[in-house]
This record gives sequence, C-alpha cells and structure tokens, in this order.
Amino acid sequence: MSRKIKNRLFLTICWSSLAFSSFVLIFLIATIFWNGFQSVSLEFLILPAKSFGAEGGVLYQISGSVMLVITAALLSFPVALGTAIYKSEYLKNKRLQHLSDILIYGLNGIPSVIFGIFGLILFVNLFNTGISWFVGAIILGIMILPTLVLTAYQSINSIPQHYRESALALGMNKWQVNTQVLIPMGIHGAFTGLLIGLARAVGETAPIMFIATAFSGAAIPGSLLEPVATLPTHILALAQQATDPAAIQNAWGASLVLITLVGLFSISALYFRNRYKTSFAR
Amino acid sequence: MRKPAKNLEIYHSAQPETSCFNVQQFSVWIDDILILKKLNLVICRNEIHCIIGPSGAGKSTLIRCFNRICDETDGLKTEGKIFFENQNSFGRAVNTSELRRKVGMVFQKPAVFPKSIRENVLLGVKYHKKLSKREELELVEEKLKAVSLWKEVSHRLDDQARSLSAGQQQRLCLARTLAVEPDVVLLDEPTSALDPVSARAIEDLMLKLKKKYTIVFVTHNIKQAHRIADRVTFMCEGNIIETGEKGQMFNSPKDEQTKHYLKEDFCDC
Repeated sequence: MSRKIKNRLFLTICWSSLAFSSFVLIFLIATIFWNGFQSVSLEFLILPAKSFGAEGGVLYQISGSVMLVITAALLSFPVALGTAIYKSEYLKNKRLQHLSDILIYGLNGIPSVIFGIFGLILFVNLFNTGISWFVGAIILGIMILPTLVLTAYQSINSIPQHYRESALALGMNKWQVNTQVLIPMGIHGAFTGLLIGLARAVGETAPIMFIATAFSGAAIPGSLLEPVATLPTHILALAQQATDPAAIQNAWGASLVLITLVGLFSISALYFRNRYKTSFAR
Repeated sequence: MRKPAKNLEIYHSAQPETSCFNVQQFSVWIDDILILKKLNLVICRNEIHCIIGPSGAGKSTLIRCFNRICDETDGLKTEGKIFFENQNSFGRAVNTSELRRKVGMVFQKPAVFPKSIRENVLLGVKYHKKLSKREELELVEEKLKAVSLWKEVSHRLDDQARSLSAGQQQRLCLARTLAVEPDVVLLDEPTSALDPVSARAIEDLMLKLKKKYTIVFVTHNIKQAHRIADRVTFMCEGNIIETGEKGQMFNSPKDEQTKHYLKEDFCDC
C-alpha cells in the first residue's frame, strides 16, 4: 500500500468516527424533538399533570427538578470551593494529595443508584425523614461534588505562583490572599464546573427516585420534608406504566423539556468558560 | 522546619548603624540541595544594592529570604540569621505579614490582579490601615506619580489593570508595593521581562526612589548594575564572591572571578 493510500484511509476512518458520533447525538435529539414537539405547548409548560400524565402539563415536574438542582448547587458549591482551596493551597503532603485524588475520583465513579440506596437507608429509614425533596437535593449535591471539586481545583491551582507571592509580598495573610486574589481569579472555572454538574444532576433519575419524588399529588413543597415531582422520574413512570397513548406522547414532551434544560445548563457552562477564560500567558 | 542555628554568637549585635539587613552565616537548602552557603552580607540603608551573578547563583533565593517569601517554596530549609532592624527575620516571634509590609517586593513577571488600576494600588494597603475615600484617592495619585505612571493612567483609573502594557504593569506593581509604605524594596530581575525603554524607566525610578527607600536589586545584566548601583555583590554557585562599592567593584575588583565576570559577562566558577 502506498503512503498516499494509507494516509487517505486513515483520514477516512477518523472522519467516519467523527461523523458517527455526531450522528448518534443528532439522531437522538432529532427523535426527541420530532416526537416531543407535538405535545409541547404553552399549556404543557404551565399546567400540572392530570389523569396519570395523560392530560395537563409538567409544571410541577419542571419546578421540582429546578428546585432540586438549585438546592443541590447551593449545598455543594461552598463545600467544593473549600475542598479545592484546601487541596490547592494548604495540602502540601504528596501522599495526602494523592489520597485525596483517589477519594474524589472514587466518589465520582460510584453508580448513581448507589447514591439513591444510600439516601434511602441513611435519611429516609434511619433518620426517618420520609420521602423528602431536600434529602434528594443533598444526595444530588454529594453526587456532583467531585465534578465541582475537580474543576474548582484546576482553576485555582492553575493560577501562576507569582500571583500568590505578589499578594503575600504586600503583607496580606493567607486568608486575604485566598479571598481577595485566588477565589476571584478562580471562581469562573468553578462556576463552569457547577453548571456542568447541574446539567448532569438535572437528568439523574436513580439517586432521587426512592427518596425525593412522588409521581402524583406532588406540587411545590411547603416544607423540607415533602416529596416533589421531577422530569426524569415523571418520564420513567410514564414510559414504564402508562398504557394510554396520550401519556406516552406526554413522556416524549417531558423528554424534550428535560433535554432543553440540560442543554441550557451545558450551553451556559460553555459560555462561561469562553467568556471568562483567564489567560495567564504573557 | 528550620535547623537550629550554630556558631552565631560571635556575630551577635555586630550590626552597624547604617545597615538595613545583616545576613549572618546564612544557608539555604531546597530539597536537601545546598543552595546558599553560609553567606555573610550587610546591606546599607538608602542605597541601591545590586546582586549580580550568573543563572543559578542563588541571587533570587537570597533576595526571597529578605521578606520570607521563600516560605512559599516547598522543601526549603534555612540556617543562620538575617537581621532586619535588629531583629532576626527568621526568629520565631516574627510576624511575616508585618515584615513583608516593611520589606516590599517586585517580581520578575508583573502580576497585576484582575481588578481596576485603582484597586490594584490599594489592594495591600487596605489591610494595614483604614483610609477614607479621599485619602485613598490621594494615595493612588501619590504612588502612581512616584512611579511616573500618573500621566498615562490618571484618566482611566477604573480600567482593568490588565489593559496596561507590560512595562506599565511592572510600574503599577511597584506603585502597589510603595503604597504599603515599606522601608525596603526588593526587586528580583524586575526588568528582564520588559522592553529596553520600560527597563530604563524602571532604572530611572530606582535612582529617584533610593532617597526614601533601601533598594535591593537582583539582575543578571551587568550594564544595568553599573548604571544604578551604589554597592554591588557578586554571587556564584551559592557563594558571595565579592561585595563592595560600585567604583571599586568595576574598576579594581579584588577577586579574579569577579574581574572575569564583570569583563566577559561569563563565569566558570
């Protein structure tokens, strides 16, 4: 085989891999869009579900999902930022560094259903909270923690050393350097990580299905210990149990709404990353 | 993690009135490699003291010990003493924040913070004293004038400091350092990342500032040392080879190595 042919063959293989992977995504989104489009309307977005999902809309599913992930973000973000700062600025022991890496990656590798079972046993059964949206938010917060820690760590740790030294040389103490220099310079990266984490959390079903959600009768909760409805669990219930074709149709509609939410988080993450990308090359 | 100092009593309180820093039997290890070897050096007040020498001589390591910014280097150990205002900077009771306020430092690369020009000047000072809005404005103006930056930026103090050129950024860093009212300014190759014109501007500033401050200036540029120094120290391989007044060092150096380095810009020690 001549060099030219080899070259062309390799190029073709690479190109078709790219085409295939893009095609899968486009096919998926197109299917959801095609099927879901018919049921999504303004009413679908602002009405609660009726008759086991066959009629009405997904208002409380949207509000429930958004509530869950925003609370998860509020709980998880400060912890992640603290961990990242400690890891980047204080933890100098190589072995402990390594250990913390293993633990964080380990937490990231745990299947999401395990988080669900953990929440069920610890909170719902042992602490007797019952099915509670707040417990769901805690579990989702724990689940996205590794993503947040790693992105926040990378963004703080990549700030060149001479920024720290310049600030210390002004007589600032470590706390002042962290809060006045490093956090403001690294927060955008951490925020990008948060949005990526939320894009993942909003679509999660397994961690919350036993502990935080109810299929029917859930509205906007009045206390921490009430269940909510969410989009992914709603889709699961409709797809699994509904016999009414109208309900199946609404599952497609809910999927479209969900994928739009995920898309919104992802796109804002991308936007943030590009908008505030700090370049230190100079 | 400092080793206990030994054999130092003979030097104790042998500090002349005019001295600012008094380095006594000072050694530094980084990761157990000996970087500075029992150095002794006196740095006098209100002078520009240039430390010259080839790369790897330990110039930066030494200057970084004057304000204890060397603490930030992993695996660094010291032995010996550096007296500043009759107090050992490496003593237990030393408050490093206070030491660094009195001993300011400008680094090789300008590190302006992603804030406005005004905020950059005020960043350090607001932790040391309370200022009214008016005093803040006066301080910003005074310090930017001191580094000859006022004319260039007075109309855009609220612009991002990163919009300045590298030379302007370095002068802004100097203004920020001066704003905390130090007694000493340490400069670690402050012009090596700058163009020749900006470098000259910094040099001129040094000559202006030495009336008020003690300046320790690390450079590997011999001509630069010749232009601004009052006193020169030549270092090589972690040793101080020779130190003396500029005229004596450049005209009649006592040491062969010094002579060779100053003439050839090259050192085979």
